[in-house]
Amino acid sequence: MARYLLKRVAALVGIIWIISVLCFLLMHMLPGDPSQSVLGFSWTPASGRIWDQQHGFTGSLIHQYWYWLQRVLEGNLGLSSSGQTVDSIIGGSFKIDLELVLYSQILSFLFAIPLAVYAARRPGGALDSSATAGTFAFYCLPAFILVIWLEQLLTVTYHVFPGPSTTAFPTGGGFFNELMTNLHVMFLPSLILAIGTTAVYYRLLRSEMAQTLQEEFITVARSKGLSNRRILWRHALRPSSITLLTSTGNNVALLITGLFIVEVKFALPGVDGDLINAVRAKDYVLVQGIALVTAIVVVVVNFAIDIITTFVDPRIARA
Amino acid sequence: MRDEVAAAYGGTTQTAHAATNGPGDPDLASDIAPAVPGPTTLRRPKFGVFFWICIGWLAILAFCTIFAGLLPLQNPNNNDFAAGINAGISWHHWLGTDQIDRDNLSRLVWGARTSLIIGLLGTAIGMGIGGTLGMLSAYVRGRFDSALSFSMYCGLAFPAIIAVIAILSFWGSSEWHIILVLGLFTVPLIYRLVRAATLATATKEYITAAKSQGATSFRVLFHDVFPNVAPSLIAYTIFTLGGIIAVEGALAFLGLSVTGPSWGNMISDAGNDVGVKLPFILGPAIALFLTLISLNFVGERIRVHYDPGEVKL
Repeated sequence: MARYLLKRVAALVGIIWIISVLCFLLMHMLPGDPSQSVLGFSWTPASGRIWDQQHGFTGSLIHQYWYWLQRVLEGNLGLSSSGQTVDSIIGGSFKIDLELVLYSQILSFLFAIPLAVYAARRPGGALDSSATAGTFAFYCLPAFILVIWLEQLLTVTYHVFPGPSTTAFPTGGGFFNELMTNLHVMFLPSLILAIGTTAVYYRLLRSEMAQTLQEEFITVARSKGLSNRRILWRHALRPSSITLLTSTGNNVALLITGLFIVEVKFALPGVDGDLINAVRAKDYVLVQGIALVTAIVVVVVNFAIDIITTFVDPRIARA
Repeated sequence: MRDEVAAAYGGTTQTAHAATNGPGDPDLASDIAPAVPGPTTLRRPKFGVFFWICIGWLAILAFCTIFAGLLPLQNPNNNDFAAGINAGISWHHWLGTDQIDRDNLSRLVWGARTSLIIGLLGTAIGMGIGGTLGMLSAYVRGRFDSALSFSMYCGLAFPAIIAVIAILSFWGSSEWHIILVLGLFTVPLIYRLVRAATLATATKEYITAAKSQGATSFRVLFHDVFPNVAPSLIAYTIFTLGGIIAVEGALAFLGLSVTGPSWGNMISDAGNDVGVKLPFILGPAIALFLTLISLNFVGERIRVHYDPGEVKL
């Protein structure tokens, strides 16, 4: 086990290093000149050269990479063209992404788990067929259609949820009120994100449950006279949930980079929204910083899920 | 994951992602494990009526893609000022006009062409590179496989959608850029799927038998391995096609897609129009929805049909 962990950590460090190279190259591949986009109208060839020198954009590519890497290791991602540091921008908006991911995954589990558990009870039954068909339909409905539709329906036509102009974090009114307002504002974006993952989780868990329910220990539990509910939730759910766990890790990693449709539509100040703005403003340093930070988060989340699954099922480490 | 680009990128990744969940990946309605153990003979499940309806829809799309120029349609970029903006259904405009007086029906048909061309060519790039490398890697194994798998793993870890957005907005999003970028970013996904499928085949006894009879690597690979991997390849191709079409839509949502008519453009134009009336995004939204349903369903059915072992689970 220790050897396996060590190997995984070494691979993790290697991957993060390669990702840093990719992020660095990505910025240098893009056409244009960072100094020009930062200095704007005050840019002249001379002032551009001075800016390049101050910010480590001179010399060979390897030299520039080394300069950048040293700063990154110190926790300094550079200065965006708006004058703020990249770290403070990302630090400020990451909590929105975190909340969206958590909220949407909780909603997703609330829909998917009960549905899958009861659908698996009678494979081929009415609930199973309709839930399978329904989740499949939602799976094929891209978020950018849902976002236009649900937003129009629930915020403009019927004022169930506040529209994009509302701030995500209102101040005042006490902690509880603030929390409720926040959950209310974030519900619709999270729901839209949850719809896609619900279909994936439902399909995974339903098929695992249907399999588990044919195992002998379930027959034993039934013959002991345990109630159906107890068998489903206590005996069958746990052994069926390992694939679900792995898939959640993948999905969380995907979601972190997949939030920008809701962030753009609902004007939420998250990292993905920042990225779109940075790209539009040709803010090279910010694009690079966001790419690096999100890539590392994705890799680390996947790594953590891998490690958790090896603790749940130690056979994986020996394979 | 979907969402798009979430979907989009969500999309590509999600569709393909669902397919990567391996043996645990449940099939659709078809794989229902009987509560009472049924007969143990493996029979290829029937395709069913819905499968052929989906094929029919895809055939209509193919027809539109090939013959869009020959159909008696109005110019999709022509503004018919006489009709007025967001006009309703009329004899002259069967699906009405959009927010700048263009004919919706014609844009829908030309949009199908854009979506399908981007999807097909992007998939061809992804399959051509990822599929070939995946098969080779699983067959050759050893150092070549380890090195390639590690670099593909890094490619998978890198948040593709961020790179896609950055590259398209800095380079400009012509049709060819979109095809190239989306195609290249599906390579690691396809590589991983194809490698896993080939690995399962390449370790079978009949491959060992073929090798021991003195068959050349080339012959084994194309005569024995490929035909057995082909059904999975077809299924992944179809999933990838759906994924790329969805990503194109999400890119359009961000204003990063082609300038001509495309479903994504139609949906996002109507969606960004102030005071949008929901029926106006219905046409392209339904078309996109039907296309994604058809592709995912057909892919799933083909996979189940040729891999009955998995149906039994």
